[in-house]
Formats: sequence, C-alpha cells, structure tokens
Amino acid sequence: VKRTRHGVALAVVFAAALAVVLRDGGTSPIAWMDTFNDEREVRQCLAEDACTLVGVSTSVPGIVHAVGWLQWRTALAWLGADADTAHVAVLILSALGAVVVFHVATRLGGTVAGVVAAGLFLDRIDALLRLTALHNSSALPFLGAVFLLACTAAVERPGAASLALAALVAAVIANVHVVGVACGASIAWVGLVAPRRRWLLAAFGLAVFTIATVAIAPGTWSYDFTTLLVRPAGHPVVPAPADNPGLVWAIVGVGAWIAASVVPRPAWRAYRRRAQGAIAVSAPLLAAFALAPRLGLYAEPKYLLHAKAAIAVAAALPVALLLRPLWRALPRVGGGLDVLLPCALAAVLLRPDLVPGLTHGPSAADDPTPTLGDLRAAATILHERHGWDAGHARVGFKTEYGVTAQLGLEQALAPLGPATAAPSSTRRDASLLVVATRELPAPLPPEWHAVRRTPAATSVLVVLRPVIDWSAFDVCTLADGVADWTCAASGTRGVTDGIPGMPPAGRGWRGRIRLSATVRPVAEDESVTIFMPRAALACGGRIVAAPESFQRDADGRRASATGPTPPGATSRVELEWTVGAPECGPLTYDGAVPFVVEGDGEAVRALEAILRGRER
Amino acid sequence: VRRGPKRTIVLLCVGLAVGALVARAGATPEPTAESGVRAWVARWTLPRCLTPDAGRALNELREAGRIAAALPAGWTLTGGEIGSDAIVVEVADRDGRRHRITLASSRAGGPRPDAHGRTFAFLLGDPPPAARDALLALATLIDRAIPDAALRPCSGHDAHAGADHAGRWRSLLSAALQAAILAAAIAFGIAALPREVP
Repeated sequence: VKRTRHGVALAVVFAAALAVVLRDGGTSPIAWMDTFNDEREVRQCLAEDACTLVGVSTSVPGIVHAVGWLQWRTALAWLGADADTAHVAVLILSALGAVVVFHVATRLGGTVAGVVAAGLFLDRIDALLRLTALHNSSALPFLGAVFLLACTAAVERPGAASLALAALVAAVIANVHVVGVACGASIAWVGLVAPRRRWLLAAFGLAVFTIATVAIAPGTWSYDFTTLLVRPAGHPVVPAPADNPGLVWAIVGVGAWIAASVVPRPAWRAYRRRAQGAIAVSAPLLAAFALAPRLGLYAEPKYLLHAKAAIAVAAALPVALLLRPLWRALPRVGGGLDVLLPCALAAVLLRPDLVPGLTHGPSAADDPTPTLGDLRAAATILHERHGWDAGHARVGFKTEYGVTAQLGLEQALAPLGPATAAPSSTRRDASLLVVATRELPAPLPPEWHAVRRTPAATSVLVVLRPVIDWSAFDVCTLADGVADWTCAASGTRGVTDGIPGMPPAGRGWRGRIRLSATVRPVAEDESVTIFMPRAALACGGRIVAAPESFQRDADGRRASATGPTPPGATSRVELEWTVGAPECGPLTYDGAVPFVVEGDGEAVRALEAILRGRER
Repeated sequence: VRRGPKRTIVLLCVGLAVGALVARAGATPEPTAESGVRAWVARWTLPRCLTPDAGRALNELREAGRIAAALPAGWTLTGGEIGSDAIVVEVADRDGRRHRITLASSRAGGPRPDAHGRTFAFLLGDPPPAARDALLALATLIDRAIPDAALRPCSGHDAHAGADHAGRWRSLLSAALQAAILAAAIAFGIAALPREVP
C-alpha cells in the first residue's frame, strides 16, 4: 500500500511537472542561434559522416564544449526526430528530473521534503534557463537530477562501483556543458565521505571522471587545454545579476548543513549524513560562485542549472526536518497525506496565481520570438508562392531577430529544394513578427499570412515589395575614437556568411555605420515607405538622406514617396545606425544590415503601427 | 568516522585554493605562454606552430645566398611557402624537374617522415636517388637556421585543424553509451536509496 501511494505521488508529480514545462517551453523551440548551430553540426554528421569531436564555441573565447549534447541530438535525428521532437523529449526529461528530485528527497527526508524539493526544482527555472529554446543547457536540469541520485547512491552504498557510476554521469554532464567539470569536485567529495579507503576512492573516482570525460570528446578537452595554456582569456566581465534564486537556496542548503554540525540531536546527525550527496553537488558550485566575481569571471545564474536538483534537495531536507513536529501532529488519514501533498504541489504549480503572493512565470505563449514551426510554415509559403530557396533567406528575410531568423529560415528552406514555382515577376522581401493577436489588422491585408495563432499572440509573415536595392550598397563606418570614416563597396548578393565591410558583431564594436543604397523608381499610382523601427532585439537607426522625391520625417525614422518618380530624380538613400546608442545596444547589432521596414505604403503603415505600439 | 568531515574540509580548502589559482590564470586577460609552468607544460604537450620569425629567418638565409650555395650547381630555388606548422620549399634541378621538401613542426598525424632534423621532420616525397642527398642537405640547412623561438605552441584552432571529426557511428555509439550510463545510474540509484523513510 505504501509503495502504491508513493507510485501515485510520483505519477502526480510527473504529470504536473510535464504540464508546467510544456506550458512554459512550448512544443516547438524558438529561433535560437545555438539551436541552428547544433542543427548544422547534426546535419553535417549524418549527411557527410563528419561528426565534430571538438564541439561548439562557448561565450568564453577559445573554449569549446557540448560534443555529448551534439551526439544526443545526432542520435535523435538518426532515429527520425526533428528539432521539435527533440525539444519535447528534453522537456519530458526535465519533468522526469522533477520526479527524481521528489523521489530522492522523499527517501531522504519524507514526503514534506519531497514536495518542497520538487517545488524548488521547478520554481523559477525560467530564471536559469529559457525553456522555449533548445540547446545544450536544456538538458542540464535532468542530468543534474540523475547526478544527484548517483551521488546520493554512492554515499548510501560507498564503493568503487557506485562511485564509478557517479563519475560516469559527471563525465556525461561535462560533455553536455563545460560547466559540468565542476562535478569532478563533487566526485572527490563523495569519495572522501566514504567510511573506508576514502583517499583511494576519491582518486579512483576522479580518474574515472577524467578518463571518461576525455574519451567522449578528446577534441574538446585537447582544444580547451590548448587554449588555457596558450591564450587564456576570461569571460567578458559582466556584473552578475543580483536575482539568482538558485544561489539563495544553495546558501540555505549548505548553511543549514554546516549549522547542523553543532546540533547534537540524532535526527540532525542523520540529516547531515543523508544530505551528503546533495551537499557534495551544491557546495563546490556555491564556492565557485563565491569566488568567480573576484576572479573576473561572470557567475551567470544558468551555471547552477545542473546543481538545481541538488540545491533543491539540500534546502528541502532541513526545512522538512523543522516541519516534522507539525507533520506528525497532523491527523493520519491512512497515509493519504503522502498523496494529498503532491496533489497540492501540482495545483500550486499549475495555478500559482491562486496562492496569495505567488505569480505565474513566463509561458511559451509570452515568448515574442518565432518558433521553428513558424519558420517552417513561412518557408513553405515563400517557397511555394514566391519561388524562394535557401539562398533567398540571407537577402530578403528582414526581421527584428536578425541573422538568427535568417539562419533558421535558411535551414527550413534547404529541405524544400530548389525553387519550383516560377519566381514573382518582381522581387519580394518578407518579414516575420510575433504580435499580440488583438493588434493585428482585421481582416489581414493581402500578403499577410498568420502562420501560428493563439488567443494571445500571432506569428505573421508579411510579404513586401522592397524599395531599397540591397544587392549592392556602400558601407561607411566610423568607429568610436577614430577620426575618419572608412568606406567600402558591399552588398548582400551571394553572401553566405557576413556582409563585406560591416563591422564584426559580438566583439564590442562601437561607432556609426552608414549605408548608402539605391531605391527603385516608384510607379504611377504607387506609394512606398521606408520605416526605421525601434525594437528590443533590433538595432534602431535613422534615415539621414533620402532621394528628392521622398518626404522624410524630421526625426529621420520615416520617408515616403508617391509615384511616379520624376525623370532624372536622385535615387540614393542613406541610413545610419549608432552601435552603442540607447536605440542600438551592442548586443542587438549582429553584423548584418539592421532591420528596416520598406515596401508599399499601406503595408508598411500597418507594420509601423504595430511596431510603434510596442515602443510605448 | 569523526575525522572524516575535518579531512573533507581540509581537502575542500586545498581544492578551492588550487581552483582559485587555475581560475585566476584563466581570467588573466591576454597573457602569453612565454614563461612559467604553463609555458613549460605547453612546450612539452602541444604541437608547435611557426611564427612570422620563421619566415624572417628563411628570408635571411635566402638573401645571404646560403640556400643557393647549398644546392648543387644548376639547381635553383623556385618557391616556398610557410604554413602554420610546416615549411614547403620547391627547387628545380638542372633538368628543370621540380622537387618539393616539407619541414613539418607538428608531431601529430601525416605521412612517415624521411628524416628528422633538430626541430622539424623532413618529408621529401619520392625524389630520384641522385636528388635525395641534395634535398636532405637543404632541409638540414633550413632546420638549423630556424631558431627555436620561431615556434610556439599552436592555438586550439591550429592544433586541431583537420583532425577534429569522427564518423557518425562513433557518435551514435557514444550517445548510446551515455544513455546506458544514465539508465544504469537511475536504476542503481533507486535501488540504493534508503527504504526507511524518516
């Protein structure tokens, strides 16, 4: 009966956790650069039989990782799973992680500990991980839960076999995300708390961890070792965010474990012993976080992801111990509380707004980024109706999501093959936006396609006839601290990676970029508009010079013309962006031509209304 | 049993100190591997790549006429190329036949060298026996002219160029093994947890 109750409780926790992660993560991942880079590696591995042993770059220059993750993605793709299926599979694993946490905490500290731990594990996971994105960090909550289980098992049944198993799990984590190397400290810790031959066990565990880690991805560790020896470069130093819920609970868990050492009661001694596995995972990470800012390293909250399970259990066990008198005072309804309490947790997770003081975190519907499903739908429309193939994505796909969305559309167009439909007689550009459904014009204008619609938000593909010819233009740049402009001829014609003459993205470049291009003649009875948006993800600019047939607004954000263009009229437009200015943060500039809305006057006006509404 | 926590704390402190030293080394902006323990380890563990100093040394050798002097009469130097980890020199014999010699600094991979110099491995290709001695003499001259300081440990990119991929079956097997490890850890963990709930 007791086992059945526990089984029911596990099922309830799994169902609730799955509902939560699917609600917050969605069933199709968002357009995310890491996802597309991973996808490229997976396709290369399967199609060209060339699977990377080095991995992908991290945000620390010269450090690479994630070969293990890429191998998982490759295996899933080989089995026929696309990125959507992989995303859902990872979310299911995260829900399983909550079940593992609940089970471990229940076995170590009772039902109250299990419920508190599962709640802490799922609480504010969005602060550490963007659940809507699919990348290597997405797997860390589940892997962290398995590592906690393995370390706890090694504490409960000390020996070479149990420690080797924990070390192998640590090696898997280290090859999913480089931050997993910290698991080596946990392995040593678990070895050192064994009752006998502790130094030998610790050395053995570390040896297994090191050998297995390198065996999975020899290229990664050789590369990283080389970098650390030859040209070590720290993280870009960014102040660590004050809001780090994982850190707070880690302090609670480790602090309580240390404080309990002075409490002479048997219950607290037993708690200290049983919590060893969770503390072995949490404490080294906590120490690393305390040291990191002093060493110029960025203690990003997401680096606690693989320790979230352990932190949840480490914090839940003393809380449950403190609540034990209250728990024992409750009437025993045939052990029904062991099921009721997880049900209450499920209710809180699914409807936190019903509890005073709790609020709902962001759900997938709140994410303003297009999903891979949106890009596939857009690719199909553009391919079938406008004759696009993969080569069009870098030239004609203009969104506030920049190169990321272009790369995603390119990957979505690639399987569709060469354009089979006859291309339009005039060139068409396209834009994709996720907008609040209530903001959409009704009915939708021609060439506006809703590719995904929920009551709250709609992903809309807008096809426009462009005004500016971006195939050839001039780039002039004036870097901060430099006296003279540097100019070069450039264009999007034939580009596959990076536009010539544009300053590099992601290296802290600051300064002004001025692009000079040609506008097409405006036909009779036609009106055209160029609009310079301001968006959170895009670099905002202004029109500094327009052809004489255009009327330019005083703030330089809009220029319009009505046809026909007079014979002999000038046709050059100059647009300028200041990278580093408030409207163009350095992280929004990605090395491509920033987002400009241009096309038929009516269509641009409708888009402008939506985009200006967001600025407010 | 009582000594356990104390030992753990001592070990943790030592670990933290070592970790701090390693992390501090990693956080230092743009240092080079010119000196210290790191340079020593790099010298003996990493493949070595050529710096622009190697090109300068080779130019000095040519301008001083020592390459021409080392070649048999009627032979001429027709070309040269300096890559990240190899020097390729091309000469023409008196009949106009071209011969290439490669001086490779990297110890990893590649065909078996024909000979070794002080710093480089020599790859002569398959020259006629009469030309072999002349090519070896030229390779030895260049090898001795390039100072040790003209080489430094390759960066990660150079060190792994061309040797960083495996076949798909290795990748799939690795993924399967990792999945098996996780499944075993879950099964063992569930079995090992205490049955007696407090």
